[in-house]
Amino acid sequence: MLNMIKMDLYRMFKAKSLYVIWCILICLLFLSTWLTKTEYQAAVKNQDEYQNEMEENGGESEADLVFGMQTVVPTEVGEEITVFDMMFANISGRNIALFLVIFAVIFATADIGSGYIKNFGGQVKRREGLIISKALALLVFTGVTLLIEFLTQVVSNYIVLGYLKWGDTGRMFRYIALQLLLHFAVAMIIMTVAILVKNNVFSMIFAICLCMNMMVVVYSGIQVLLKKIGLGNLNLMRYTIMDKIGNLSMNFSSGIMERMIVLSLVYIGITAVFSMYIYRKRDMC
Amino acid sequence: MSEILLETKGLTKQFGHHKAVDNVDVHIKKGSIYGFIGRNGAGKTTFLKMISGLSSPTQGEVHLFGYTGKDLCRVRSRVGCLIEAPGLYGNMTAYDNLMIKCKLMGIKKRGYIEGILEQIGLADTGNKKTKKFSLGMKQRLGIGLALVGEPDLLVLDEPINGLDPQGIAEVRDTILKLQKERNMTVLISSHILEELSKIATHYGIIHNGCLLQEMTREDLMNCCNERIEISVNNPERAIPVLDKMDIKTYKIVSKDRIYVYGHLDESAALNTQLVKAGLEVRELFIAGEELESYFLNLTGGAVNA
Repeated sequence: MLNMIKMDLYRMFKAKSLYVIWCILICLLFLSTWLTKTEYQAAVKNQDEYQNEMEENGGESEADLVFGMQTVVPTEVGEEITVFDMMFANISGRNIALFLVIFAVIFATADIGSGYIKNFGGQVKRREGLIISKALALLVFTGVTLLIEFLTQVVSNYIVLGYLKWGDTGRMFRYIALQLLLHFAVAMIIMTVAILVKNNVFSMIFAICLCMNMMVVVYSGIQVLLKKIGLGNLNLMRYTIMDKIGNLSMNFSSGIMERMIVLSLVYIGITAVFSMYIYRKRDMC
Repeated sequence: MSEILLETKGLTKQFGHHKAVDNVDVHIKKGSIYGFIGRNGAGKTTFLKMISGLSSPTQGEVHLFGYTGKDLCRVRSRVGCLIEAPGLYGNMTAYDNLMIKCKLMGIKKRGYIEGILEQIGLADTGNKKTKKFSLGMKQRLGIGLALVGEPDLLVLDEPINGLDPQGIAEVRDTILKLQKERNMTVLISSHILEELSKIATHYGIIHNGCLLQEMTREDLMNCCNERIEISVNNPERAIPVLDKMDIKTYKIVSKDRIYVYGHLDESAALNTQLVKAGLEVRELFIAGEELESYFLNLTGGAVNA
């Protein structure tokens, strides 16, 4: 098992796509900070309009769900933009999730797509171990990506904004830790889909649609169906990880944290078991 | 040399209604080079995938190193394989590709990868990505990957496909060297009998998923060198006679000539039966045969094979 983990970590850190994704992410974070600065400066000039926009975004309801992605800092006019504000804006805007799902698709299907799995697939004692090793590699990727995001944010805030304000560090690290778990759950979902369909294009489209909130259309369809067969008004969005990533507040309570942890673990558990089942039952090539 | 290392019993793989491998029983002795011959689509690759553990059989058993069923996982790591085209990470070097498998096998020995690269003739590839390798280089790296972990059984699926004559000779030499130096058992598939005949000690001939014959090199040579050639006035009328004698491997080569493969000791009886059936036997003698013709005859070249 340990050897499988070592193999997948080696493979991951040798993959060119990993560094390309991180480079693009760093550039995007700098761009995001610069755009935020520009927008904030404009807002200071036009204070009332900005305040109204903030209130609208803060009070975003299920009825007016946003398609696509957006980065909105929670900073009030007159306050300084903190690292936590920028971290929150980028994470809840699903920027990190987008990069994560793209890498998850590439990484999860690389051995199948290249045919490399034929070299060792028959030699492993338990194929399920390959899922665990891939999952752990993705967890490492998620963790390192969030760390890169944090470090880049520190540097970009200092360079672009010209000052460095941390915000509430205790809350920030709690927020990052919980988002790590939620993001890992997303990576597991995407990995499972990629393994199931064995088609990179479809998996990638699905992953991007998930990040862009496009799946709302599917959820709504299912909700209508459920309503028609008399199962009441079930709001599926409330149980999706993407919704939780986007709507987790900066100052969440212990109760919310517990619910998020349980939800993430349920998703991680189900996807892991399902992927293992596919690997055990399906021919390797 | 007599110990059976790999044995299959009624091995079958079915996709929908199609049986890609149908009830195949092979017996491979330790230290042998077993040539698995069949036309394209005969079921060679499917069979080898099942042997390598990449695919599970619909029916039947695989006995490997004395283990079968769920216990097979204990000896799976002793099988190295190259199935179809080599599976490589194109953006990585030959060294990295080998290192990935070494990590899985837990091999940390210094110079191990360099040794394999030397053995397969890729020691000087340096930082060249495998996507820039020629087909021959990829094929050799595929064999190198199969060699990681010092397997006792090497499964090679058409390793000479697409190679130039020099590449074919290199692969052949590598296989012979491994068999000689490490007493490695090699199961190698091909549709080119002529090439296999240069290295294989044993043969299994598969056609339409069914194993037609298993034989040693000596058996094959005997079969290929000799056949019964019959000259009769009406070959079509000879078919019921051959069927009655349970002779299935024959070929009507012209309007007055039939080749009968094997059954050399039945030539007199065959003559008698043909004459009894009212046929005018002008000639009946034992003659030689090319390897390729023998294979073609067995796998569909003959009228009723």
